[in-house]
Amino acid sequence: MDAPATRKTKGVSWVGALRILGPDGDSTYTWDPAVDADVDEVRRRFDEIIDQGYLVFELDPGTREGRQVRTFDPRAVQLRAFRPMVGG
Amino acid sequence: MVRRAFGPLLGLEAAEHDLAYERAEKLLCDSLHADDYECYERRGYVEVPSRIHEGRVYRVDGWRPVAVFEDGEFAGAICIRPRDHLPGPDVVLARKLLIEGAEEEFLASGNWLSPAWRPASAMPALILALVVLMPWLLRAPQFGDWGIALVASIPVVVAVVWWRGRRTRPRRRDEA
Repeated sequence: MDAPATRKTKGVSWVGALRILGPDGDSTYTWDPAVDADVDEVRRRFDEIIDQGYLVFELDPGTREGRQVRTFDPRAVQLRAFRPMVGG
Repeated sequence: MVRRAFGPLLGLEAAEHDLAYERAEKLLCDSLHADDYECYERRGYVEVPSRIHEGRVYRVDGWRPVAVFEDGEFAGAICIRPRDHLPGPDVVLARKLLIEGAEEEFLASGNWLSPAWRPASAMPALILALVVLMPWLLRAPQFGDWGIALVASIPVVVAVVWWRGRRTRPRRRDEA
């Protein structure tokens, strides 16, 4: 239930995860904030989905409440993205 | 081609659906507070308090419209769905995040469904009930005071139903 701590690098004990909801389950993109290549790759993907109109939310590590974000912050731990919803 | 022809018979699509559902449940578990996930497992929904309307709570599940409660009373429902198919647990997560992080967009995108028992909706049913019961009501005075009391109580019941409907009427979307 808590934020993942799957890797441990210099001074950083966590990796960020961007999970994009889709029909077959989510697609996951992870990054280590200490690795520039990781950050650049996820930032590119983040910007792509924002351009496509996706909504992205950052989860609060404690309460797990969502906060909408529009720019990529490599210090984020958990991001969730999905296409806008429509009235049924 | 073989897959298209025989996939449904072999249950391949169902298996993929199950995998997607399991993956979505795992994601939901990772994304909810422990208390919320316990509520989801036990009751099938999570409750999300409104950040802009005091006393309002949204009850979110993956297959029905989002139920709206104001001060504990059912006030209506908001129908909102993903553009493309998403597994049920992903729908729960998306709705919850949308309410928490972009409630105004949630309210603007969804369609309000008012309770069916609002006076405007209940009136045809009341008229029908009166028509059906009319032969007995006309004979009620034959039963003396009790019969008269029965007839006299009908306007009281109608007034109570009308008053309850006014008290719990949901806010219109443009008021939200």
